[in-house]
Amino acid sequence: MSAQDPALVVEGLTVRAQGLAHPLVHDVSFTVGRGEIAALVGESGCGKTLTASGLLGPLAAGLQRTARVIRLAGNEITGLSEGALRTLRGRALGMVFQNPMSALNPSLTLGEQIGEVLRVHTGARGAPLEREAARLLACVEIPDPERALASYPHQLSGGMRQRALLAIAIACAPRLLIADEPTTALDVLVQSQILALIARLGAQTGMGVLFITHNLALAAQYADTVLVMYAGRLVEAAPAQAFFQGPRHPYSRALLAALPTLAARTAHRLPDIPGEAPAAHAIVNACAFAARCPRADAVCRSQVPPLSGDTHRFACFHPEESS
Amino acid sequence: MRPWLEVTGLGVDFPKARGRRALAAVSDVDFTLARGETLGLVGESGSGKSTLARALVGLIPPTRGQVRLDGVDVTPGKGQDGARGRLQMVFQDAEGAMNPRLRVGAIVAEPLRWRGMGRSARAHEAETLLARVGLPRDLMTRFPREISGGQRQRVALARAMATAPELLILDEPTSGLDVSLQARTLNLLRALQEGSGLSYLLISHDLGSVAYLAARIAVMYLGRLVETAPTEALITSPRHPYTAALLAALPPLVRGAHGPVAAARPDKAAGAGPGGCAYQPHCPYAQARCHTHRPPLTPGRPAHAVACHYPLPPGGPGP
Repeated sequence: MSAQDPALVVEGLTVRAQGLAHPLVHDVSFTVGRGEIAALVGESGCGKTLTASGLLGPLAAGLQRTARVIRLAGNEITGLSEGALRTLRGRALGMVFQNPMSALNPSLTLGEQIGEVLRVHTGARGAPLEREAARLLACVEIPDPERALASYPHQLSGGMRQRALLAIAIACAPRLLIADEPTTALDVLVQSQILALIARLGAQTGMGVLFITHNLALAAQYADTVLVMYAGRLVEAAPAQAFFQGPRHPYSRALLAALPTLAARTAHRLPDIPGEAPAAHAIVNACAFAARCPRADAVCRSQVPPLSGDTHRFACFHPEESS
Repeated sequence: MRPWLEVTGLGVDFPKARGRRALAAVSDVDFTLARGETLGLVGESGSGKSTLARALVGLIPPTRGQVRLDGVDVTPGKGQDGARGRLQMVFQDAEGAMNPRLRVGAIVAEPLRWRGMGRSARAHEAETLLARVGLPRDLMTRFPREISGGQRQRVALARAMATAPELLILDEPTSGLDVSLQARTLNLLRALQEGSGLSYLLISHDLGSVAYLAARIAVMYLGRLVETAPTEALITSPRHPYTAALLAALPPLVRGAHGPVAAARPDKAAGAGPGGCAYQPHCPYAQARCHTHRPPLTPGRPAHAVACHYPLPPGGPGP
């Protein structure tokens, strides 16, 4: 892998479930550059996590992945054997999850858990291994790393646990970090601190980050790219600045409008989005958002709008004005 | 005039192992609430927000202090039953707060037994309650795991309404919900309150949601209230450095034109010495006096109280 390759290139990722005629994740394409944070946003059930696990992870029974291209740090992984894929994942991919307590083993110290990862992937032993584990904890800005190594997960605060998970995730200097709702269980101040830390690590090491979240405010603050997913498809993909200045898809705009910002405190009601998001496999030959969209017409109900555009892509026949 | 709900000097201690001092999780909490009013309670995890809520409804008996409702002492653990059913709590983890073996209809109907209703009256009332929170009647026969997170949140709300409470204590009612569901829940809470005289104590770390629902906000830090003020004043003119730091830490998209306010980033505190201000280790404005004397929550005008020896000047974002 060359140092110049993007962290991740995905083209045409589709995930199907056995017994369903239509896919759960449909033809998703995007790139995560070196040192870049790409935020994958959308409501629960829209396919964010399935997209992330469909990329590189082993899928649950009954699910099947197809893709034209999935390149992790320059390595094409479509067609790799499970063994080769596992080696590549260990070397180039790190993951952090929403609930740090359940992702850590409650009966092992942090030192033992970080040590295990280092032993398996780097073969380190003894004193060098301990030094490396302490260095990793220092990287994620845990004060007094020596003491933290001897601690059990329950002795740490939520924010510290998430930092410890992050230390494990970056132990092998991955080229891509998948962070699936890493801060949802944490409070606002700690959320910001963890995201700022992830951004610093990305900038220092060139690691790309796929940040899965439903928190648009955090995405606005830290993401370089925004990918909006709805009912299994990308409906908008754009540089963060362009996106937040002028989202083109009505769904994106509705999401932003529904945020309880300080400015909204005097509003009589928050503009929520009527109705429910449909299941990804339930909508064929129509825009999945049409039923909830104020701009929808007959065309939207009879064709799927393609995701088109150059740097700012959106899938809509009647997009919002650009600003 | 007497306030409707009056909490004075409330404190909760957690006992520690033998020979060690008890941990004061909540100390010296004073606040009042009027009928139909919403008070927001904000602070970090571990600041004692949920412990305070639990003490108010008696899930954790308060160690000190008094709760008065309409002038009557209803402090939990003192033997009186005066506030029973009048104060209700809606828990953060709606799924964890429900019996997984009961159907939604039974979950909502259960508190109605306490009102002495017969079986058919309970079923009918449960249906009415579900309708009030915008849920269809066919949900009655489902189990909690069979419905979505947003629907479970509403079921929890319907169940809390079953005793016709006068105060709902809402513990992080929208955390973990999607943006759209969050907006819908906030709208629903506001609609339920309109014209009903229902009061809310809204506990959240999300200042945006709190500002939308609450007329007044109380800020908690390590078990103590450090600032209480009308929402508008708290947001546009915070006096406590910790409040200013909370506002400054909001993502710009939420904060909008407010701030950023110059203040140090608060992190988990080890706490000051026993006598000093708890926020002093993180405070950019701390002086010698802050190390040795704890500032009391001092009322100012208009209805803006702050616990700080050197509060930020009124009327502007930051010093």
